[in-house]
Amino acid sequence: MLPVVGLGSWRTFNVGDDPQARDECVAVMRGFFARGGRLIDSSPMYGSSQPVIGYGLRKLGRPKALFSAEKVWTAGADGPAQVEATRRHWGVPSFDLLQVHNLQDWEAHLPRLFEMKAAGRLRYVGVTTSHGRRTAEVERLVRSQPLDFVQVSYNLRDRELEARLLPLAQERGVAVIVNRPFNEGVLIDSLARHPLPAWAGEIDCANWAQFLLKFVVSHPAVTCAIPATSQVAHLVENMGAARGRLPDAALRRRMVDYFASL
Amino acid sequence: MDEWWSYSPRNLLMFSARTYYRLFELHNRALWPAHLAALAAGIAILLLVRRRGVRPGPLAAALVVAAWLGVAWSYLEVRFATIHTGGRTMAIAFAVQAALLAVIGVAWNRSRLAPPAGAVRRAGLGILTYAVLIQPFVGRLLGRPWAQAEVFGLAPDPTVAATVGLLLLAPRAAWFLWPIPLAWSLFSGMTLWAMRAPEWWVLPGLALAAVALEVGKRRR
Repeated sequence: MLPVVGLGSWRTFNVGDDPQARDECVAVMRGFFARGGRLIDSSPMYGSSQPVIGYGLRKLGRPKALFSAEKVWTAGADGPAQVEATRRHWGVPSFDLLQVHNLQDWEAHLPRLFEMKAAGRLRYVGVTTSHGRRTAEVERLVRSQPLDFVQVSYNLRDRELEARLLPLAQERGVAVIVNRPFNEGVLIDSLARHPLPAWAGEIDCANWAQFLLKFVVSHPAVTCAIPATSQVAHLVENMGAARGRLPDAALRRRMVDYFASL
Repeated sequence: MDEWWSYSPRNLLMFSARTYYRLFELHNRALWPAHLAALAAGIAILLLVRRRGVRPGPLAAALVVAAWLGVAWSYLEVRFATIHTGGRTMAIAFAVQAALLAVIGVAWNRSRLAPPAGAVRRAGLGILTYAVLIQPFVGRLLGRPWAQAEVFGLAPDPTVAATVGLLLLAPRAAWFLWPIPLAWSLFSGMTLWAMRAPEWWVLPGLALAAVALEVGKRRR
């Protein structure tokens, strides 16, 4: 069972060779594992994020709790070489989850990933999309392919997936990872000037980050959200969403209404 | 990337503002005191082009070529490529521009055309002065530390701005000298806009103004 809060690495872990920033990322990873975190997600598209994660895993003694989620993001023929390069960056024997990033060349990648899974070199296979793009194609793949995971963008503002894709994934038993739960920080920034409603205490939310995350992970189809941060203080807030009560359907409706009223 | 046109520059920004500016800090720390030589080179270009009756082509061009090569290698290849998947391509583009700029030195002195005067000359000198003497202070004025200053010859934006000014000041700069500086100006402006940097419009604005003046210069 995966904890409902994972760790994304888009933008935040792309710090290049900066030793100070790399060590700050290690501190985030240390705090993540110390609070029961497991799933870390990255991609070849994320600049230096992969080597930074590998650096962190080495520094932390390769935590056994790690659930490694990666992606393949290249033309089909280059897929195996890219997956191997990614594995070396992380320094892991194999990945728990490999996803076809933004569905790029999925016709070539998915059969290979299923082969890897059948051979025991991979536990799970998935596809990703973001910002609500190509949702219809993801739906088709959920229906036609034996996917284990889909990764999509979903948050209190962007809720279109509630209509079809999320119920479909739930019906098919496909796990859902949610990226951009804060819409790349825009939601946190825009909500910062508003007070947290008093009833947020009913679901153990102490800040807006937890309010937003609890909304996402309380959807019955969602397996986990992967907020990204480079600051331990923000990580602590995010991981707080994995504890305490979650909103029921009525309270989720109230969260939507309150957000719309701001 | 599919549907790339539907992404905003903010969706495509690969790094945080903090990482972007820290890159200059690390870069400056590694290269100090090369800044003094770069500043001297920038001032030398300014003095050369300000003196009327002197044909500054070869020396000014040599200094600008060195600046583009320096930025291509020490910043784009060594630093920027670690956080941007297109960094190496940009480094190659800067090296290509350096090679192209070598021709301006020859063409400048061989040109039978008189160097531009009036508004075009003032704009060229103004842009060059901004690039060499003012841009290093912009970050500090906006609250960033000195250690992250962007200096002509070491950082791309002031180097590109200085080149745009120099192209305006040349009797006639070949058209192929413009695309790479203009492309970088657009890219840099979008990057800074995506990072919500208040000065995002400066380089694209200077480049667009320079293009408009260059078009006017050619029509005369």
